[in-house]
Amino acid sequence: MARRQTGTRHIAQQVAIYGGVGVLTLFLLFPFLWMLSTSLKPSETIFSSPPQWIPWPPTFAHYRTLWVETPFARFFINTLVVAVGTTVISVVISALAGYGISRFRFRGDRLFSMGLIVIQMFPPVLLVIPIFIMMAGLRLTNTYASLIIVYCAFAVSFCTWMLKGYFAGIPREIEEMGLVDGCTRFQTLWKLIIPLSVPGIVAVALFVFTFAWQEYLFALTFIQTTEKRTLAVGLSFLIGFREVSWGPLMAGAVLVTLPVVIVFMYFQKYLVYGLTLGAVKQ
Amino acid sequence: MNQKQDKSGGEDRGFFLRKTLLPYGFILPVLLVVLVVLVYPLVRGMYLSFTHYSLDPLLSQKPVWVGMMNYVNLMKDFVFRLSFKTTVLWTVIVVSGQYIIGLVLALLLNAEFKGRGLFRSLILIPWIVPSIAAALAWIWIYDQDHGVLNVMLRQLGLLRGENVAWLGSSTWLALMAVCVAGIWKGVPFMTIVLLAGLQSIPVELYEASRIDGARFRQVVRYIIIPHLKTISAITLLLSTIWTFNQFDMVYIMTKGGPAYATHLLSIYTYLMAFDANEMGYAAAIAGVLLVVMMVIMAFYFWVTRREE
Repeated sequence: MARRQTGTRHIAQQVAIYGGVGVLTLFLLFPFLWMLSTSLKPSETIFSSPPQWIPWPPTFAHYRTLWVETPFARFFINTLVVAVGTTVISVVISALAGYGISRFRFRGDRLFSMGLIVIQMFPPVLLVIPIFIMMAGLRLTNTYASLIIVYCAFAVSFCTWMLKGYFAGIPREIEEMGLVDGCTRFQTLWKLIIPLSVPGIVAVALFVFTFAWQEYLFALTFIQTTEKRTLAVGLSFLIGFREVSWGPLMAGAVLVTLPVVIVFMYFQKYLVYGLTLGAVKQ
Repeated sequence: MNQKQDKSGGEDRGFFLRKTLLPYGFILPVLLVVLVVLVYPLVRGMYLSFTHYSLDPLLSQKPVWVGMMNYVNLMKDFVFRLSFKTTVLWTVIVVSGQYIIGLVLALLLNAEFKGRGLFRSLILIPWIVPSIAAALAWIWIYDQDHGVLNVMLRQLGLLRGENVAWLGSSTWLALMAVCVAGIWKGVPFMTIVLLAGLQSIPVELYEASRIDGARFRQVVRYIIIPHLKTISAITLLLSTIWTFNQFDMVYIMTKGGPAYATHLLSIYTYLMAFDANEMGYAAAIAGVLLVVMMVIMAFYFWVTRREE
């Protein structure tokens, strides 16, 4: 857009953009960077004033403490299983439902869409008691399944709405062409709509994954044994058991965060690529 | 799907059935999960709000019907009224903060500049940092004795005398400190959704407006705002709901204190249920929370329908 503007104005615009983005990015990154920095410092320099911004030379002592002296690896695997399970199930069933309400008019369609919005408001704190009672009745407490089921239930309404919005933005002509060519509804969804919606689906999947990864209240209530505990709750228990020691605590915070950041950064490239491609194609 | 059972009706009827039943097939899995895992427990929870009930597996105690008593007691409950005000204030500050910063950032990141892709990735970090890690990081930043915020302010000459107890003072300071963390956490989601909305605007529209000699202000007025209206409404609504029901970050940071300064309704509900073991009373607090949300929803639908 700015390519053909005159030199000075262009430069002034670029400076304003970098300034704004720079300040906001610093605000958004600082807590994470400070967490990382603290986790890599030897205990003596954690409290130094003025603060040591870059931990040099870095030490992994706090990480070793965490891995060796706590069941952190176990928590990690548990969380991964629950989060992946939740993501796959939620995205698949939400894509179906999102397609259903974006493309069909049927009796009760408004009720269904409205119902999903209303459900989004259900305070988890209200539901945790009756759901816990139900899970106990089904003998599902202290299982991965109990968490996956609850997380899916909380994720699908949001996913369905986001995907519905995404599908609605895809011209109907595209799938009408497919239907004329003899595709079934499922085929048009799978071969025409889904490929065009990859950025939306990736965004929704990432949302579900991060939600399941960090959920706290249900994981705290449903899981009773250390072997099944997830990271968020496991870490919160570490605060309780030890006297506050910022090094290991920040190391724990980094370890909960880092894998998600890495996975996310990888998909983010794909997300931006997909969005750009979609825009260019049109 | 229905062809086997339907020979007499011929193709017309089969087609009709398929057309009417097909949509239900698509929504069935979501419908089932939601009904069993959310709607049924919600009804059960509502019932519990009219009972006196303590969760004790050893005694296998059953809920005792008490009618409106929990709700009557709530109206007289000073802590409840205080928590209600705090929750509203917290929600307004956090949601508007998130939206304003998110919109500015989305507009900036929609412009063309070098390194845009990198910034688009970096700004997502608060969203993916798990609440527990975020809460720990903010507690550490706000720490009275060694927290980096106090140290930085002192270095800049903005802080003299005693260190500030950001999360420990009973004034509005603790609430503001928690609000900053809440805004910080929600900005990335706002930004990517608004950015996706901005990018769904066909390039031809910008090109056409450039050929027609439109100014930036006109582009905002006639292209950007109309395109972002729906997506803004949806994200604002979702953010309001999440913020209103926010629990873990604030709970981990302050446990609702000091002196009820950050005592949100969700925290009150949790403490009432799992600390005081008053399940019925806790369900009643959550019931009020739900009613408030229903009112907001009704208002939302009324506004959006009027705008159409």
